[in-house]
Amino acid sequence: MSPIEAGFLGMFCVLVLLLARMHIGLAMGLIGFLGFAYITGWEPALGLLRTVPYTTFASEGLSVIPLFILMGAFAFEAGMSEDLYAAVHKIFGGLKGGLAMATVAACACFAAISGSSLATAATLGRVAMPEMKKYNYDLGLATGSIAAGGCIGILIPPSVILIIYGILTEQSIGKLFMAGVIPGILEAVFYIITIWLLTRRNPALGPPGPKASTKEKVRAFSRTWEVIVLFTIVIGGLYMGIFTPTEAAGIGAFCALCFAFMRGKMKWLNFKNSLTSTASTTGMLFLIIMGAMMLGYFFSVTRLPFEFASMVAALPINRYAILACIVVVILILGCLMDSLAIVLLTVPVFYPLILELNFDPIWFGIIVVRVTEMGLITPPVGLNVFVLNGITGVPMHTIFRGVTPFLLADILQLILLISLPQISLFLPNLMN
Amino acid sequence: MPSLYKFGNKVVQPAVNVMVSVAATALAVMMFLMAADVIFRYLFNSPIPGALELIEFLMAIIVPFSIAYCAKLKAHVTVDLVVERFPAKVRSILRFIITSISCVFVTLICWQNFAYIFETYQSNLTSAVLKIPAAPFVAAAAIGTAVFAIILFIELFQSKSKE
Amino acid sequence: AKEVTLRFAHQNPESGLSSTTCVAPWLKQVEDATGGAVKIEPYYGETLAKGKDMWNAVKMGITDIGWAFHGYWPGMTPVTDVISLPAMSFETAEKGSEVLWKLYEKYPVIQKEFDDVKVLLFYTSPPYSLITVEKPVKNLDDIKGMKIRMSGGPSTEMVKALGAVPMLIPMPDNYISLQKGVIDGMGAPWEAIQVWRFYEVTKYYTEVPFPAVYFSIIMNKRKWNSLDKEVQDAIMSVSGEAGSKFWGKHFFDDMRTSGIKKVEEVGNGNNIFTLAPEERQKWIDVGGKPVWDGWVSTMEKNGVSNAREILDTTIALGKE
Ligand code: NA
Ligand code: NA
Repeated sequence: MSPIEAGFLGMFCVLVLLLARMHIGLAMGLIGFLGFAYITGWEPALGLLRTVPYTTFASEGLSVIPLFILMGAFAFEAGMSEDLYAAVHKIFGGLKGGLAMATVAACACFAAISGSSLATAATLGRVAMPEMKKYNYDLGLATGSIAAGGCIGILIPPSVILIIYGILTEQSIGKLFMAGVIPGILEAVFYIITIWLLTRRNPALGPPGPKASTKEKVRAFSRTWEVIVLFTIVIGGLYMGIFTPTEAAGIGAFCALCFAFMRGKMKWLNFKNSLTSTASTTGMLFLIIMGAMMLGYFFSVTRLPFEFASMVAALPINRYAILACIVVVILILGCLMDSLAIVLLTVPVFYPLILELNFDPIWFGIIVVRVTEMGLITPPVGLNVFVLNGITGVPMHTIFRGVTPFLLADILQLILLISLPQISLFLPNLMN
Repeated sequence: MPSLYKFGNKVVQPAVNVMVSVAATALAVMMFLMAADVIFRYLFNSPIPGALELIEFLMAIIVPFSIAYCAKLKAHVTVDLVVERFPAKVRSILRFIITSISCVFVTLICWQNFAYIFETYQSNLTSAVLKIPAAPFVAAAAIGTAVFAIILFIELFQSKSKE
Repeated sequence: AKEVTLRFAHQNPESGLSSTTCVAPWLKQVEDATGGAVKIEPYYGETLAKGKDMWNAVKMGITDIGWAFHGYWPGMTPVTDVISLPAMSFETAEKGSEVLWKLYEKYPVIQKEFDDVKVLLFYTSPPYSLITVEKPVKNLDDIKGMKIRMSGGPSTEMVKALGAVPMLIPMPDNYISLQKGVIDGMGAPWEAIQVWRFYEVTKYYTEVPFPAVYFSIIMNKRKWNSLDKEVQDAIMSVSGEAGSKFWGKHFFDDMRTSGIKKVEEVGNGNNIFTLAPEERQKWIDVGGKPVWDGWVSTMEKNGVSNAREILDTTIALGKE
């Protein structure tokens, strides 16, 4: 078996172990270890187990992940998500499907302080679902808008996935964050249009709620100033080059904690909950990262990514056709895996090819994130759908039915992002 | 066998409780340290010496302890798609096999990390500014993976009805 | 003879300046010297091992040959650190590399620090230059209170002794830190000034008796021992002292001219200074000698009885 064949076999084995319910991080790590041993021998492979875990854990660069998660946890405990929803609710509430539109808009705002899609979906699921039930919303539309809206969490910065992409490819995390802003807002706009079209055709899906006066709107919005300040500090600081991403995350978490105190919402128990829930998420993410690192070294030593890149780049086909194939592969994986694992698994393989084809690496990062986002709501493994099913008790198939129109909107937006790279690259190019 | 599972849990749970408390404390310290470093640098023109290496060491505690905590919570993501179509008997055998493989693999990592403590200790590796020895922090990784391996081992004796 | 393939792991990307001027040509030299008996498979950009893990990666055979920056591992090679003491006598990286190789050949106590691996060659940077953003530094008063980024170890102690504030910042963040005034200046070799584009954000350049840093190209011992004697000899013919000098020259010294050219292009060509001889001696007396003495007494405490002699030899070799 040639090393490259071993690489493909390794990928297949990871999928098999995954379907047999092995933990994704352990599956990637185990195959990485066995594959490395097959090519280089046992002692080097054991060396991988010796160095990779400690280096992955004791990383200053990766400390930005728990810190941004912590910021989101504090903001949630402080009730900022509820106030956000209340504010956008006042604007859209009176429209047909207005509550669903408000959900999407609130998701986009909450995305600005949360680094993960799951957290965004879970938070808005708790806040928005009771409202939409009260006004007799169609359960599919209600849950669909939360599941899809939650995806925006990893496109609008801060974003765990963009951080990982930046670390894997040595691209500036600050620039990647900037690149995500406009596509993220655009995604929310696409979803709101989708809801508008759906409820125009069938008003029963989302009956209008009460209209709010201007005074009420102003009052509701005045309660969201903390979120605006947080976003300005974190993203403004990164944009101006005042903070490194790690510093922005540390300051962001600290400010969120201060705001929570000022609101009187940070009792000892809330503080403890924020920390332990962050620890739990951190543990889950880092086990996946560790496994992916091991698998990545195995792929390296098979030389699969390099050979693959030069082979594919030499094919006499349009580079956009190759990009389309990459997108389809990620979409298929997205049906089975969670977004972090997909990025960790595919980026090391595809990235050399992207450079070879002269695509912009920052732009490709946004495309990758946009596509893996879709994986969060596609069956059979759609983590956002699972989370909502857990929180609201709405059956899985109802939620999957509800997200279908949003997936169509996703495809349209993806085509737009691919054909107009300036949408993503406009802000980061301003940074220099 | 289920009694062994119960007994094992009784032993592991307190250890995990301590670990998550330590991880949570380290996380809070890391946040305050980061914020203090930035504030001191911009307002008082004097950064905290060695903040960078302290963050690395704090991460070395936070992550492995969080992984053990996470394993106990069973918060790790798995794919149920294929397995749930199998008969219960096949399912429980498959679970046993996968948990065994996981347990062996994590044990291997744990063994290598313990070897790494020894190696780091012997080589006198320290941090650059504060000259803090690195070995104790490698030990945190070893302890975290050890508890993870034990949790997986206990899961082997979980009764079938608990699935 | 049978053909052997050796994995070579490097931290920097393949497109990097030093990769094209130094690393790739040297790998080619190895292949040519062995008459094709050895084929090298390079892994650039940390694709096989992180820079920080390189020592273990070589020791355990994850890679056969690895590029090692010893600044990552404070405390691990304390005697070899003699070459990175401030105010050493060599002026170029080529000379520093030659000195370090000779020290390694001469002193078993240094060889012992590299027992876990097979050392193919050593190389050093030239003594770092001081680059500053707003204020030129021509004497000790100028540097008082300045926040200067250094790379840890003896360099930190020297900056303290000179009355400045040492800062430790990861390499990729230095450009922004200089631009935003987080630091007033930093110690850097001309290679870094060019590669990291520091010349865009700093105005003044002073050649001062700052320390150098050192690197090694190391090989897995078991793999080394598995090679035929002729192959080993062929590899050593382009390694050892000759290889050390090659790396020092092409990794660092060659960049000095092009680095200065970049500085001239942005109009700061007149801002490159050298300390006057008596001023330089002052820096050595204030910032150099106390750090030397500190190193010697620490080494003697650790049982290296000939530490003073090693230091004197280093200085003498550098002047040759
Ligand atoms: Na976000
Ligand atoms: Na999916």
